[in-house]
Amino acid sequence: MKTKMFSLVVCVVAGIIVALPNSITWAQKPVAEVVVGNISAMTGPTSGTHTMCQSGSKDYLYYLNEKKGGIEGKKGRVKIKYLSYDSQYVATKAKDGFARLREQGMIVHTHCGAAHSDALLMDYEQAKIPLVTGSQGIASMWSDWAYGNYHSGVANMARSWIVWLKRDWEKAGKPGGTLVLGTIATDEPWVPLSLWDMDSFVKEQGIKFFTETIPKGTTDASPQLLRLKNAGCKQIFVSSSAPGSVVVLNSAKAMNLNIPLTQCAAATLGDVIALGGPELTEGYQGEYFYEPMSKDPKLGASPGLKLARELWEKNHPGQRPNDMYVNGILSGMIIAEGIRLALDEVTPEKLNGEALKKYGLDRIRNFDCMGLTKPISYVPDDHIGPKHVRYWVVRKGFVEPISDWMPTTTFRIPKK
Amino acid sequence: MAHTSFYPPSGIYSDSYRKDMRIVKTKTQWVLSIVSLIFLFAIPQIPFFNSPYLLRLLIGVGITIIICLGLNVLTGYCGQLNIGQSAFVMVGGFTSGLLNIHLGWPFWMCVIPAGITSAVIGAIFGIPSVRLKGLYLALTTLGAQIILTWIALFYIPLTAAGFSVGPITIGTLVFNTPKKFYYVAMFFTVMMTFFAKNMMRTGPGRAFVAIRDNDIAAEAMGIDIFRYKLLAFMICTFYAGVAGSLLVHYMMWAHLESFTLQDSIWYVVMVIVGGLGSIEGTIFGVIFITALKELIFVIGPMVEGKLPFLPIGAGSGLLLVIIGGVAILFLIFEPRGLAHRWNLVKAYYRLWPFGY
Repeated sequence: MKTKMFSLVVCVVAGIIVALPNSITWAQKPVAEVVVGNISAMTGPTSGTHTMCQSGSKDYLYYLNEKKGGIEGKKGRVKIKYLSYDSQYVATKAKDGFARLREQGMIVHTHCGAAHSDALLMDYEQAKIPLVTGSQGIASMWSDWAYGNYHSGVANMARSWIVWLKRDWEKAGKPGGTLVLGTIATDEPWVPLSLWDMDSFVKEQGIKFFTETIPKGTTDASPQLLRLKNAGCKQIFVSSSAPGSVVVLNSAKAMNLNIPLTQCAAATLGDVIALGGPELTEGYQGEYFYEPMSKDPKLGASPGLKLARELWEKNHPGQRPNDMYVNGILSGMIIAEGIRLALDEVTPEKLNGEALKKYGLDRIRNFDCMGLTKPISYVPDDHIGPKHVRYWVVRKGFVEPISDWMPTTTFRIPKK
Repeated sequence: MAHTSFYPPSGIYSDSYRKDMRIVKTKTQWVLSIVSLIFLFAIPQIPFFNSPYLLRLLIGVGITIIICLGLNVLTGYCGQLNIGQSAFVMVGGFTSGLLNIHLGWPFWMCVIPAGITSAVIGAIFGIPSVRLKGLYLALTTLGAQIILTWIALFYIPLTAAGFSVGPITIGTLVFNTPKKFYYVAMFFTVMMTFFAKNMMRTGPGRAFVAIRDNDIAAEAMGIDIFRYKLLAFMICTFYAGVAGSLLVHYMMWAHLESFTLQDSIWYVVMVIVGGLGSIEGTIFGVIFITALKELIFVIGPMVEGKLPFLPIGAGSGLLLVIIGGVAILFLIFEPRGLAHRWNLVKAYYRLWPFGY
């Protein structure tokens, strides 16, 4: 009987000891949740880049939830709830998605810039919900509520490239007397924006610049390349998404063109390698505003890129790494940093869009993004982001840098 | 029993042609119509219905109904296929937006010029209809989509970049929220629906149907084919222009990429699913497809959340599969669309319990 009683007491005590930590945990106040919204074109012409961008930001924020227990400031800790809707590349659907996310308690949203998401400008300004954009469209450049982490707007892609080449040409003693450059562009909707008011910029730079257009879907760009060659172009900028770029590369190869070609940021070198293969893309140049997943592993990686590769392995096992994933991770990092700073000033219960902007995003200074890009600072009237670009070249299916980080131009298409 | 959908059911007698052509024939129909209208305009004040998300959805439905009504006049009633309707919406949208920002005209002064500009451009692209039919005509309207988009992209810098458009105002009242804009959208939807319904009772309406059924016979009866086909094109694109004007003032933003070929195809799908040659069918088709799209829009991310092995976007991608499947099923099992189903239900209800 005594033995039985003793056993019972031991069991009860053991049970209490085992249950105690759990009951303490249950008694603790649950960590507050904040909603991060994403409205991207998961279907439609840009779905390839938009899904990767979304995946990057989602995976990074959930990584913080799992590994760090959320995001913590001096006044509290929050976990992220990531909700997304497919804009279907339609402006009205983007607005529907925004309204729905707003009803679900969203305090910040993110996406890749495109015309359909530009239509959200009035919505997020009225709702006072900041946007952290993985790609500057047109309208986000005008808004005090939008924060970028990517290129300095579509119109700065060719401009920055011209500045880079002009600098090198001047260093080389201005061979030929006049720098002659060209661009071959598809007739995709964003292309006129990338070449917006280029004539006056070219005049200002004192160079010659020739433009050729190829229809989207064409299979041969030889006539256009030949005309650029005959015009004496030293380098050619390819203003196209990946399929058009592969057409240009095929045509260049067929005609043994030895003029260096550079891919604009509308597609990554990684996309072009995936589509055209390492042999065709060997020597093809491109611009990145961050350290890409396609970087040759032998060259080492920043802590940010190492983390990106880990997250990719975990969430996309067996798939070919995608460069736009890093772009999404950058969005996630900026959102997390903004929330962390804001939680230094307000409690989780008071964290809303306005508080996030005022105490978080507006106070981001020299944020290093774990070395993925140049440090980001947001100041009034300048939420562009890193404002630095680096040029890379394809070698044996990977990319390696051929320039240092250099400042981009910061031209803005005027608001009418 | 199917034949009953084409004739007034037993119990409603018209002793003159005028009475036979009435849109609303019975007192019950009058009461139901008035109650429906009151409900329609009361929605923003009713709890649960007045969420901004739902109101946005209804605004989208209203504007799409206007677009599809025009398309149904041309394709359903007159038999001329148009797969470039979105381009004419774009013409109206840009016309209205440019008049608004450059000349400072308010929406109420822009909306009719927007419709007229679309109608004029539509007439130009309608000219080939006198010589072409079926798929050949469809290709010319596809050409309209490509040509008009190309012009907007490369020849008008402002339309290529997109631009902000002012909200609709009446005095100091600004229609810049879903709750306020809803009334404007519904006002135009009801008016345009009434015009379309009424138009089909007129001489031109009957001429459209005659041309659709047999253009040679119609010409033999003295109908000016060229004139009426062109008129159908103008009416169709006028509707598109008005809807385009509403759309840009609703979004307060006009951009080329809001008017794609894919949208044009959606409009055709809505009209086919609803029922070609039926005003009610147009409304049913738009509501049905919008509801289906919305279902996937909401459920897609949930499915992805519950099934983490699915790649990102797979849930949303279901939309295209399901809608494509629905269109195929409708073409096979109900080529006359939802409107025909509606007529069967009405006839059954009216004759019940003596539906022999």
